[in-house]
Amino acid sequence: MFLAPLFLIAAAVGATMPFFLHLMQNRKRLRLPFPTVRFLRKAEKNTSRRIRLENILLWLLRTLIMVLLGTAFAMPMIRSGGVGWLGEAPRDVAIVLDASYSMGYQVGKGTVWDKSIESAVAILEGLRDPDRFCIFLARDQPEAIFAEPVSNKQEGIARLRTLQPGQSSSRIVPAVNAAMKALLKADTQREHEIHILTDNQALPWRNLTTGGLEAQLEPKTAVFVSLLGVSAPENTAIVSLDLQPPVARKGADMRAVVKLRRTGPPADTALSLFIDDREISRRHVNAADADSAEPSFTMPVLDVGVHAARIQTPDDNLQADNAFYFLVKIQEQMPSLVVGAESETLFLRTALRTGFGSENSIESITPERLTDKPLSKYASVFLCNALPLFGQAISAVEAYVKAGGVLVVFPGMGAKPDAYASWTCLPGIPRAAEDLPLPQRNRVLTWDQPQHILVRNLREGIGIPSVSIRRRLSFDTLHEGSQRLISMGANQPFLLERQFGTGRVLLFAVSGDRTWSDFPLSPFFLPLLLQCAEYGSGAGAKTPFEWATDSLSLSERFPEWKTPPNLRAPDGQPVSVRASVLEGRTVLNAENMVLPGFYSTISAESPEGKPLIALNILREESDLTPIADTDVQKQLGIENVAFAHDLETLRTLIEEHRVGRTFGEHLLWLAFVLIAAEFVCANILGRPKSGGRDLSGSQGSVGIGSGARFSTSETARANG
Amino acid sequence: MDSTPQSQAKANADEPAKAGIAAFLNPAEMHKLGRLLLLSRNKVEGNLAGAHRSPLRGPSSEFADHKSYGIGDETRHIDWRVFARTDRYFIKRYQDETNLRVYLVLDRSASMNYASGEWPTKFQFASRLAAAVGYVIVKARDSIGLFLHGEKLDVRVDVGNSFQHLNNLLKHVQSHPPGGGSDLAKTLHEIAASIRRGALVVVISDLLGDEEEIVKALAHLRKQRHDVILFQTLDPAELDLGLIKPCELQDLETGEELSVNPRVLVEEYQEVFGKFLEQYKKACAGMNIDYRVVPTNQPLESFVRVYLSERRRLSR
Repeated sequence: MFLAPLFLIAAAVGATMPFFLHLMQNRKRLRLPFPTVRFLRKAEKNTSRRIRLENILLWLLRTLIMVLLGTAFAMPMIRSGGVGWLGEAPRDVAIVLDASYSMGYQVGKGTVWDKSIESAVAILEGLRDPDRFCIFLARDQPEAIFAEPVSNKQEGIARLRTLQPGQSSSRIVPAVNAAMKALLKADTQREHEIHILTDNQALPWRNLTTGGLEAQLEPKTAVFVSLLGVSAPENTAIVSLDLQPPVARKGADMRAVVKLRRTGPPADTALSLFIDDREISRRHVNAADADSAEPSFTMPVLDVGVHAARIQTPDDNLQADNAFYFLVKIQEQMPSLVVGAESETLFLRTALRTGFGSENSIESITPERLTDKPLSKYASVFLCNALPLFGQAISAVEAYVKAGGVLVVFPGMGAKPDAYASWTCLPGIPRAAEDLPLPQRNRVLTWDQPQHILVRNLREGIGIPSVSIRRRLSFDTLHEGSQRLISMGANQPFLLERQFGTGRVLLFAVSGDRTWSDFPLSPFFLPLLLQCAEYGSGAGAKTPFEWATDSLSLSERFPEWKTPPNLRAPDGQPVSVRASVLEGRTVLNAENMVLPGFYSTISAESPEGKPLIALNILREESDLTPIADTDVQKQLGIENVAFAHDLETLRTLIEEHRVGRTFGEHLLWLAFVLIAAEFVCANILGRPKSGGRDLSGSQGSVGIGSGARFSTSETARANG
Repeated sequence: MDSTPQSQAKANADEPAKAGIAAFLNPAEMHKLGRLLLLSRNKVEGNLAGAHRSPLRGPSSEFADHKSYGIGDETRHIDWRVFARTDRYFIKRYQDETNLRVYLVLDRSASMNYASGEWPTKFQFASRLAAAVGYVIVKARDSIGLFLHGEKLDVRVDVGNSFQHLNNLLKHVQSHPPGGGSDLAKTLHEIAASIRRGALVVVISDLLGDEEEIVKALAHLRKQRHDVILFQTLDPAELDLGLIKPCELQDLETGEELSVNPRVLVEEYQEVFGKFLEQYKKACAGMNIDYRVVPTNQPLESFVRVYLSERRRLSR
């Protein structure tokens, strides 16, 4: 089809012009006298065949040029897809918007999200009256804004302008699948277009489980992908935080270790620690370490209570992941329960009392009274030669560990190896308690896990730890999940650890008094025990932060809550808490926990709110590694995808698809090439290369030169 | 001083009152040409004593050979030293030196009336060339004659060695404009038969006749022991076909017409014309004839000077 078909007449007329010009040219030739006509006749005889061929070629070229020019001006159009006449067929359009928080990436004055909304509005505005549209948001799960095609463009545009990107990541292909289903369900006779508006991030394409579209794409469905983000994004984000220990006694050492992720070229950055909205310290991170360093902050001495803390990266184009929120819990005491005979726990109690500086935090009982005590109120339980225990006591202790407590076990003469067999939480079942001969008693202790929180601070100032051991427990195999923290020689464990439930069990190979070894007299007995007690205070504690989620179980975090609390989001809005009864127990779940920051409860005691939960958005979305167009095609599983990186290109692509694409410009270029070829054939190939040969150079005479000029006589006219 | 061919031709055209050599050469050119000498490669038989070698023995300082003394020989020419050695009488003989007789053969056919652009016609250029050669000849006290021809021999002027003679000779040239056909071969045969042996014949023509016949006629001249110089005057457009627009060409002598597009013919034409020139070149080289193609856009004085210097060098 042609946009200006009248020019086809011009093309037809133009095609005849070379022939008529040829006739007119023959009629109007100059007549000139010339002395060497006989040579010309001879030359003409030799070249007549070539000349005829050249003339035919030139005539064809000129005719073709005229036809091409006329056709080009007639603006021929071709459609890139679909059916119908000039895009008049009704169509259904599905718009899939990436709603991840990476869409908040700042680009110029706006964000990628702003650009995608602008593009979506432009798509809607470009629809004709019978056309319809539906809109889907790509989040972790697709969210339909208009689940079925509708035709009210104004409503759609108004709705689009109210949308905001979420605080989570996104998956594109499930949303595309939902859009495709909506289009197929609505009307299969219409033309279909699917517009995917996203940034350049590879993540929403990568986290696929299906690997492509669920259904086969219809031939008349056009897919447009607008990658509106920058091609080389930069972002620095804190992706995780480790608070050691999660809960600390007042005055105890505490530190926060963060892990960074950098997208883009290396760059220096700085991290700031804020506690209770006050900047405490700052760390500089070199560009070379920005993607691998784990900078740490030492916590200051804080009052007893829960403190709202955050670590902040400098402002960058993606603001959503610049702050990492967490809670710091400081306790007055770390209550420990020491179980065992008074004489056998003497060293233990003395050490703990000395370390904590208070008698109140330590309670000592005999093994028989173990079942009488509610263990949950103790941060740690020490069993000193307390075995064997009754089954009920074992169950109570193991339940305590499973719920997050720390159990420290010292063997003794009271228990044979069989007494350990009924325990399921121990790191290993001892094979035997063996006495060591005198030459083997002096043992040097070695740290098998030097970075473990229990032992990493013990070596300073202590020197080579050497202990005289007379009797010890020996082990054949350890339980799964167990690890040896300290050894007393090759493959001879001294201290074993095992995580059980959310708690931990520490098993020493020697007793807590001097009957088995001189360990209680060694200089690291006290700090090791204190570390066990401190460690125990946080070992079972919850993480100092939560990740954003649609539903957060409050019952797991706050088992003491029986009724829904008055929970407030960081923006002050109340949080919906759903209560349900499960197996006779009330279960509380906070809904839609996606806004990062501190969630607090309002009560009469704390009208300003007491921070209970620190919430962070999932940091996987902070990886802004861009995706290539070809990878998008692979992920979608289709080849015919139109890519746009800005709104103008998208408009052009849509126009080409709906209306068609003129190839008049291509014809003009072809005509230009042919004109050049005609010029070469007509002017260069038929001319001597250097203005004529020197025919006068016989016997060394003076040459005639190559550039004779003609201007006055009749021949001057022949030369134009 | 502007001495380009164009300016000379224009100046000559602007001064019709001038006659003789002044119509062809200006004083500056004559001054430069006056110091040149045209030597013959062969021995020439002149009628006066001169600077050119003669086949005869005569009074000169250059020893030639000995001859037995005979009756009539002067005794003062007896070589007494030879007599002392051989006891026989021998006469010493010396190389005779005579003057040079030069005949100019000038083509005045219609084809010589062609000029392209601002260059002079071939006849104008040939006339000036003839005047220059004549001036050099007369200045060297040699004799010069003229044959002016078209289809037949139109003018014949016998040799003379005065400037008056040269002026008269050139007035004949002026009074016979180019026109008609050409039969150079026939003319050359006539000349070969009519002039005495041992002259220098300078042929100035475009040589557009039957080349085989012309070559035969040149051979005839050489057989008569004439030294021959052949100047082929051609217009630049004849050499490179420097026309651009398609046109209809009419032959100046035969009236033959041809519609051509020079642009597409130029290479083939140059090849054909080159072969034509090559024929003369080879034939002349074989007959020891000095052959030069002289385009009319060449500065005349420098061409003559360069050519005579070269010839003098080769004649030694």
